This record gives sequence, structure tokens and C-alpha cells, in this order.
Amino acid sequence: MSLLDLIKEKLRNEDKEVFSIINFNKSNDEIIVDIIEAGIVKFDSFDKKHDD
Amino acid sequence: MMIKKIPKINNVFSYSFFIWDDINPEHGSNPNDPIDNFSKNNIVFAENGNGKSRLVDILKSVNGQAIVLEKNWDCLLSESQKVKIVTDTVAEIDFSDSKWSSDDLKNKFLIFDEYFIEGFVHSVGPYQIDTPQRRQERGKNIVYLGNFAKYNEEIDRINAIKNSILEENNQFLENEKAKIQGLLEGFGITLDKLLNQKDEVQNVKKEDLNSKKEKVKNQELEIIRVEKAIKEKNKISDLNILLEINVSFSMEIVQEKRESIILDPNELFSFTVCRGVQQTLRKIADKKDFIKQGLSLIDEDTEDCPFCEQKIKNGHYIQIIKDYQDIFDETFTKEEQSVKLLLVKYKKILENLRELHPPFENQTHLAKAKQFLSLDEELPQLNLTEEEIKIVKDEINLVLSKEKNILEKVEGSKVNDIKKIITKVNKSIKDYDKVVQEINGKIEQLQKDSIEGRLDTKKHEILDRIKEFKKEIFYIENKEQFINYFQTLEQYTKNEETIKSLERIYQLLKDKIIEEFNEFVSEYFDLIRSLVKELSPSMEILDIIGQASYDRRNPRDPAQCGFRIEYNGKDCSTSLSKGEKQVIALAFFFAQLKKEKDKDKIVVLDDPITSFDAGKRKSTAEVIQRETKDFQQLFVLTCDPLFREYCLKQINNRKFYYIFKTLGSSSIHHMPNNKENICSSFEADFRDIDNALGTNENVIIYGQKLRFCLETKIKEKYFGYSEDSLASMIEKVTKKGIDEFKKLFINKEAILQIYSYCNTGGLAHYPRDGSTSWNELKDKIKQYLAFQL
Repeated sequence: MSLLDLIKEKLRNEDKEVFSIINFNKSNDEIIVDIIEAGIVKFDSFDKKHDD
Repeated sequence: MMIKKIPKINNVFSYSFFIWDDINPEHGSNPNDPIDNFSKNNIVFAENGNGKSRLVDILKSVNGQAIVLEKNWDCLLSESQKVKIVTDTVAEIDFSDSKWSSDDLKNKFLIFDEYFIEGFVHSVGPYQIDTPQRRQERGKNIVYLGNFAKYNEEIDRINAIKNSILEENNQFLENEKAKIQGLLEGFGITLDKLLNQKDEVQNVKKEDLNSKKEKVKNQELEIIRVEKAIKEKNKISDLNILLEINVSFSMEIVQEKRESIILDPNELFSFTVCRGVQQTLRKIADKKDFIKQGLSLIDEDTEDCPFCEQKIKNGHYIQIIKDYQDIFDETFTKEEQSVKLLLVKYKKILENLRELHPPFENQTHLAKAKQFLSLDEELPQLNLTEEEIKIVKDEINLVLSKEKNILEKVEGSKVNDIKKIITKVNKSIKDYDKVVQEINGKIEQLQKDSIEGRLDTKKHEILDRIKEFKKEIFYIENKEQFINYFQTLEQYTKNEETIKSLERIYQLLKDKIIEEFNEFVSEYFDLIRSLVKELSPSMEILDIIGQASYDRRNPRDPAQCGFRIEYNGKDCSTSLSKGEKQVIALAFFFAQLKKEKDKDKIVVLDDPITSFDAGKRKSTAEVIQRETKDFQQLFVLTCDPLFREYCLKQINNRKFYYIFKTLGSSSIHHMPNNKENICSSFEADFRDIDNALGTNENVIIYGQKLRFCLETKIKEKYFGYSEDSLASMIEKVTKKGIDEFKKLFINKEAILQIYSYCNTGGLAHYPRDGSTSWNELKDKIKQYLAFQL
């Protein structure tokens, strides 16, 4: 395990909600999609939701 | 785990067809532990281009590093690649079809070579060009734990993700804000005010919309009235208050001495002579119970006194009857009078009921007041229904009828209905009076406000109310959008928490890196410094400046992380010589060996001394012996004869190998202890050359050996090339004696001719066609032996 991996592992335990979802093997956009899909951040348009 | 031998290397780099057992036939008496097998420590010597570093590449490959094992250029493309490695615990590990048959040797090696130097020690050097890439990678360290560009990349990614989410979140809020901004501006309300009234907005109800609109309408009418009141102030004082009815119907009649009785019309209507007498007797009878009983037995034909059972002829009874008669007449009359009186009272009640109506002037007063006041109140109706009026009239007729003939019994009274009507009327009167009181209150308040000049204030209060109602209507009509916006704000705040979290991670990543660097400094740096001093005593001014830090002004800047090392007052990262870099790298490598907990590893050092002077070569060999003794196995590979000699002297329990090419293939040759002086060993072969076969392969091998002997022997034996100090070198040269050197002078031309033959003649090109004569080579070798160098 590289030093960076070691640091990441420590952080993963410290911030389970956000950091545990970050997969560094993915692109930034993919990571953001993962964060959104996990419901950690939302940018819903409530109007749209009501329309649906 | 130890490597015992490498039985085969086919078609890999310069090893086109190496077979261990063909090259090293000295298997000894124990087939399980042949004398030519690798030992705990192994020194491998080879001149440049013979396959030494390629052997290291093979070891790196089996160690799991990303090394491509290229095919030999002279082999057919179709020929497969094969490598076999035998260890003391695993029977055989094969490389075939571009992969290793097992991972048993993965991560088993600790390898030092030029890549380690480049990978861990960074210094641009005086003539090299620095690049942004290099700056990114090294940060400001001379010795680092990895590729800083990698650290930066991942740290930057966290930052970029954070910024993307931040931007998206702000945009999200702006979009939602824009949706309601126009609405709010149209109504003249600020966003802040809307937020302050969040609870109010959430509590408004759609079903209240019409009533709110109605209220606005009413208040607008109220404004008109108030304005009229202000304008026609004199008319306000003329307004009359409404009259209350203030009566109550009751069947309770107050008698003399304030005693009251409950009127019972049925009793009145049923009053007759008999009832009157009975009533009268009842009144007197209750004085003596026996009289009451006796009286009930008396009639005109009574002969015996009911009280004494004697004949009434004796006259006592007559007297008694007379006495009672007196009483009876008076009481009966009184009773009759009472019935008449009560009938009159009852009739009065009934007539009042029939005539009941509200004060007529109230409607006029109310109409005038309504010009200035918004009065929602309506005066309740008091009149009886037609049916009720009929009931009352019928009851009055019954009373009249009874009054005419008081002793006649009258039937058909609807006294119960009358009582119900009375109850209803009383309630209506009460309601009416209440409304009147309320209206009067408003009229009086208006008059008071007018007198005291408060109508303007009232007008503004109404205007404020209208404004408030309109605002509520605005909230109701747009509630959904406002609620959406409040939810957006909540979500925005939640998203901000995530952004803060990412920022924290971003900071933590940097902090953790600094933490690790500090740990590295405390664990490694003193060790590195002491090892540097040991390897190169002149390099003693090596120090860390300042605290570890991580700081980058912008993403294109190198990370200002780790610690800065100065050497002789200069920043190491820009001014180290090649040798100095190598000393630091080697010190770091040895420091890592000290820290390595898993000693079941194989240490490989590939030419660790290329840029070292003689002193460093010797100290390096000493440190290698000391720092690797606890590890499972050691391979020191070098092309430097002096370093080779130091290693042979310093390192115990070792075997010696020599790599050189035969027929175009690199081969690993074991050199037994008695042949460790390679020149002596080769010369022994030369002396036995007449017994050797004149094959093409032998032409190459013997030609190589001849060149090696010429060069190495003259360098080492005549000029002390392998000596570690000038004194030793001079001592060695002096010891050789002038006579010995004469051989060089005398044979100079011939020696150079043979050396040239070996380097530039057919031998140098490894002929396969037999163009170089075996006999010709044999002559050269014999000529060399004759020099007796």
C-alpha cells in the first residue's frame, strides 16, 4: 500500500459519509455523479419534481 | 526465500539461449546443493553490455514491477520467451507467454539501481534543465516518499470536486432564486423579508384565499366610509344609538310581599265549583288529618258523624257543619278571585307576545350609521311565525272564554307551545339586544374617534390591514414556489455541509502528508545523514531546513511540501552532483533496509558506485555487508573491478559470478573460489587451449577472455587499478619492479596489436561463419602467454 493509499485509508475512516464514496480510480465527473446518486448532495429542481 | 539458480533464460534481452547447467557444469557431489548455485551473498561482475542490468530487469519483473522483458534482437520473432527461476522453497517459477507462473517472488526484492536514484533523489544538477514536470514530482525535497505529482493530482482532484459542487450549488440556488425574484419584485417585497416570514408563508392555506379577498373588499369599503366620516364629521355626532328591547317573558308571577308563583294555565282553565270546594277543603283539611278524612264522608244524607260514629241528631254535627261552612265560603271566594287575577296576567303575557316587535326607529338609526361604519351585523328578526301567532291568539280566546264563565271548565289550552314560544322569544330578544349593544359600541367608538381626531389613524390602520391581507393573498397564490425556494435553501445548506466536508478532506490530505513527512524526517533523516557520512565523510553538511509544509499557490506550482535539504549551504534540489545524489540515494536505500521489518527479502544492488571515487567504493562494500546480513539473500552486480574486489574482500559467505556473452547470448558463469582471480582462471584455460575444441563458440569465448586478461591484468597488476588508496597503488606498482614493467615496454606493439585484434577484429563482432580462425586466435593466446605479464 502506498503512502498516499495509507493516508486515504485513514481519511476514509474519519469521514465515512463523503470520503468513503470517493473512488480515485474514477474521473472527477464520475465521482460527482456518485456523490449525487448517493444523495449526499442534491440539486433537485423542486418544481420539476412536483411536475413529475 | 532464496534464489538457488536461474536454469534458463531464452530470448529475453541479451540472453538469447542461456542454460545454467551448460555454462556451469560444476555441480559438486550433492545434486541438491550444487557448488555453483547462488549463495546467501552473491557478487556478479560483468562489463558493460553483457547483460548485468538486464538480469536485474528480470528480477524486477518477477518482483511485480512494470518491466517489459524484450525479446532478443537476433532471435526469430516466433521464438518463445522462457525464464526459469529455482528457489529454495518453490520448485520452479517460469516466465512464459509474457507472464510469470507464480507470484511467490512478488514484492520479495529490494532493488537499488539508477532508477532508485532517479526515483527518490532529485537534483537538477548544474547542467541539467529543470522542467515543470520534474518540479511537480519532487516538490522541494531531495529525498521523497513518492511522486509528488501524484499527491498533488489527488489533492487537486478533491479540490476540483469541491469547487465543482460549490459552483453547481451556487448555480442551483441562483436558478431557484431567479424563479421567485420577479414575483417578489412585482409585489414589492424583498427576499430577506420573505425569508423572515417563512413560518407565515408555510402556514397560509389555499382555502382561505376567497375569505382573504373578501376581507380586502370589505376593508376597501371601510376606507370609503372612514373617508366619508372624516369629510362629514358633523354628522357623526348626530348618529343615534339603537334601542334595546330589554324584556323577558316569564310564567313566573311576582305576588305581594315579593313572593312569586309559577303560572299554571291548565290549573286556571280547569277551575270549577267542585274543584273550588275541593281546593278549599284541601286548604282547611290539612290542619287536622282526621277532619279531612271525615269531611270526605259527609253528604246530605249522612246520619252518623264520621268522626264520632254517633247519631247526628244530638246537634253537635250541625254546628260543626256550620263552622266549616263559614270557612268554606270565604276561602272559596278568595280562590275564585285569585284565578281571575292570574287569568288577567296570563292574558297580558299572551297579548305582549302577540304584539312583540323590535323598536321601529332602530332600522333608521342603523341605516344612518352604516354610511360611516361597516356593520356586518344584522338586527335579528323577533316577530312570531303565523303558526305561533295563531297559537297565542287561540290561547287568548281561551282566557277570554274562561273569564266570562269562571266556574266553567275550559279545555284545549296549548300552554306547552306557549312556553316554547316564550323560550324562543326570550332568546331572540337576548340576541337582538346583544347585536344592538355591539352596533352601539361601534357607533359610540366612531363618535369618540371623531371627537378625539383618531379617524385618520383608523384609516391608516385599515390601509395596513388591506396591505397585510393582500400580502397573505400573495403568499397563498405563490405558496408552492416559495416553499420550493425554502426547500432549495435547506438543500443548499446541506450541500454546503458536504462542500465543507470536502474542504476538510482537502486540508486533511495536506495535513496528513505533512504528518507523514515529519514522521519520515524523525524516523529516517538522522539515519540517512549518518549513512551519508559513513559512505562519504566529506558530505557531512546535510541538514533539514524548516518544518515540513504543504503549500501551493496555484495548481501549476510545485508542491511546497516535505522538507528542504541543504548541502554546504545550497539547496540540494538544484546543485547536487551525480555522485552526491548517488550517495544520498544509497543512504536512503540502506535506511530503508534498516527499517524493513520483513527480512525474508532479497536485496539487489546494481552498480551502486558508478559515480563514486575509490574511497566510497570501499565504504559502500562495508556498509553493504553490514546492512544486508540479516536479509535472506544479497546480489551485488557491478561492472567495476575495484568495487568487485572490495566486495569479494568485505562480504562473507559469498559466491562470485561473471556475466559475459557467448555466441551472442549473455551467460552467468559461476567462478569457484580458486578461480576468483579471473585473469588467472582464464590463463589456466589458455594453457589448456590445445585440448579445447575449435568451435565458433570457443572462438568467441576465448577471444573475450583474451581481451579481458590483457586489459584487466595490465590495469590491475601494473597500475594498481583495484587498489583503494594511492599509497596502496604506488606500493603495488613499486613492488612490481622495473623489470616487470620492461615487459610492457618491450611488448608494447604486440600487446596493442592483440588488444586491437580482440576489439576491432572479427572477434568483436561475434562471427558465426568461422571467418575468424581458431588457429589464428590460438596463436594470439600463446603470444599473450609468452609475454608472461
